[in-house]
Amino acid sequence: MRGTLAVALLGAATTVWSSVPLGGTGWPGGPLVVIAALCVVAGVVRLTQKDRVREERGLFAGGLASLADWADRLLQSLPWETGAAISILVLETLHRSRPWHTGLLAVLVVCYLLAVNRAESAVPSAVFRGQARMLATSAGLLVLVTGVAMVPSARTGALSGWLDILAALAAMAAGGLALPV
Amino acid sequence: MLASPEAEARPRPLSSTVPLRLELGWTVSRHARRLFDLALAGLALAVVTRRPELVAVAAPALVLLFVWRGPRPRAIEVRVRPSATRAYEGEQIAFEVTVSGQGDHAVELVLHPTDGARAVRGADRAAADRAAGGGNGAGQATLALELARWGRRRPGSLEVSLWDRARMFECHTFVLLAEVDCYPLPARHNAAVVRGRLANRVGDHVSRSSGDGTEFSGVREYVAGDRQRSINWAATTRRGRLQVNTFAAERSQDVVLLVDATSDIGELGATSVDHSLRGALGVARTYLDARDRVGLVFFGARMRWLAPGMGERQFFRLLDAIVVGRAGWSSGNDITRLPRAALPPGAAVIAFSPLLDARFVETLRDLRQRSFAVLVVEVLPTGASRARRGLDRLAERIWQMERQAIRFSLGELGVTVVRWDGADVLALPVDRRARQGAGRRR
Repeated sequence: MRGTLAVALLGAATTVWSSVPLGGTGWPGGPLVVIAALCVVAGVVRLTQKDRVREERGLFAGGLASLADWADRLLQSLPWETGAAISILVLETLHRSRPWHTGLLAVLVVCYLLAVNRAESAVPSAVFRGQARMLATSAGLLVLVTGVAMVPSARTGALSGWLDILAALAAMAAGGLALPV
Repeated sequence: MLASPEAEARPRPLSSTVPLRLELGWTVSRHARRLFDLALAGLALAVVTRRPELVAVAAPALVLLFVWRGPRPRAIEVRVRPSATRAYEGEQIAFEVTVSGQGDHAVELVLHPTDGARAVRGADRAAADRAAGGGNGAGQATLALELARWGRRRPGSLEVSLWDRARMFECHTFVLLAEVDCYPLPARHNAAVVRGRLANRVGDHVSRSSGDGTEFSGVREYVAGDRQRSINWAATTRRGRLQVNTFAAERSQDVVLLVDATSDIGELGATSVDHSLRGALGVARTYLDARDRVGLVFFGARMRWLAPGMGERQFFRLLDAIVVGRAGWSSGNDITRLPRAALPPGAAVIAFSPLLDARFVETLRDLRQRSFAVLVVEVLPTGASRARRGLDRLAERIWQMERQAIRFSLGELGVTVVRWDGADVLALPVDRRARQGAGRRR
């Protein structure tokens, strides 16, 4: 239950963080916030319903029961968390460039997905301690790439954006290769 | 439905109590797919919008995806030990699961009940605990299932899921649980219907004739050969001649339970056959406790029977006859074809039936005309009336009158019909008739 609560809180925080300020996103901002919030809520409901004991249905279940079964199957099968993450990223791109804000958003999104991963399992959390070092190094890499993105571009023109992306990718690759894993 | 006689010849599947070696097929986990989607979306949006800070979103996901690696086991051994292989409806069976060969991978166990079993909330999934596994790296967990309906079946399957430490790769494999015999839950019943004349066998029922029982029946004059200890000294003093106490003989009776399996009406788990079997077992329990001989006859497409017997062993024979089908059988459903051992002369017949099949009603009449004491427990699960329109109500009324006519005609022959809905204590309707005797004389 605590895991699901963490998922709900992180999902809400991520949605709010990517949507502020709401005025600067234009018309697609509103629908995207709604989609992201719906995906987060559906994901939380999926987690709460995952362990529910399904009732045995007779051969000729009623229409309402069949509809409930169909909704349950839909809830369990669709990738709600992926939908939430992508809509949050799209929402972030609607704002003007703000690297430190995006960096923090990346931390929140990854934490949200890790919390979902933890809540999905009945396995004790001690099993996941092995990846703590890797999480720390990936957080360092995230700070490095964000720092690179914050460096003001020296060039102007059509290629300047591409070069910035290449610089960020190169920083990420170099950091990744240097990882002591 | 009832197990066929051929079921007896079928070999029982291997039990999963022996360790089972399972080959594992690893796939990318749901978590890894989510991270991959996030990384792809971050990179794509960075390229499309030409904003390098979005690469930062992809960075942690890519690191977790590509840097994580480790050896994964190709096979594991699973041992499933059920707490029981026989149980009554509504009872729980615990399964002790031991998993070995998984290394440092996390193991999650989930029980999936099949038709006829129910998951127990909180006990249907668990992580294999290494501390409980005996210290050799094996993981252990105990899960439970509730048996919902009678029959011999595999109550479910066990899903064994393995993850690496980062949950990037997973594998799921299934183990079929061993077969379990689930017996119908005997109805609560404690009122034995006793016929007027009882067979000449020692039992617990007080008969009308005198004998060596413990029930006082009267006083008579002493004759040579009477035991001195039975002299009634008070009566002797009063009458001036030696008087002795007489006692009623205690006899047992033969009871044949006749289960109508020609039609099976009602919701799953509460059909007329389900009610019939639960009622029959409740009645069998009562009579066997009273040292009577109890037999069973299934009246279906063909007759199956178990000759009357007594004692605890006979009760388990009855259970096996119901679930496994260990019983004699004859083709056709003619009661006259039953051997004398299956339906002893003078036996009390207690029939459980929804009274929907005309052949069964005819059989009841036939039994009564052959001087059997017959008591019918009507087990049709009708419930509340659903007729809304006038024509439906009329049809229902006609049907009710037809059923009433059947009951009346049976009553005229001396066959007592009592109703039982499967939920109440069976003793209540039977007890009222117990005082009147199972078969009234015309």
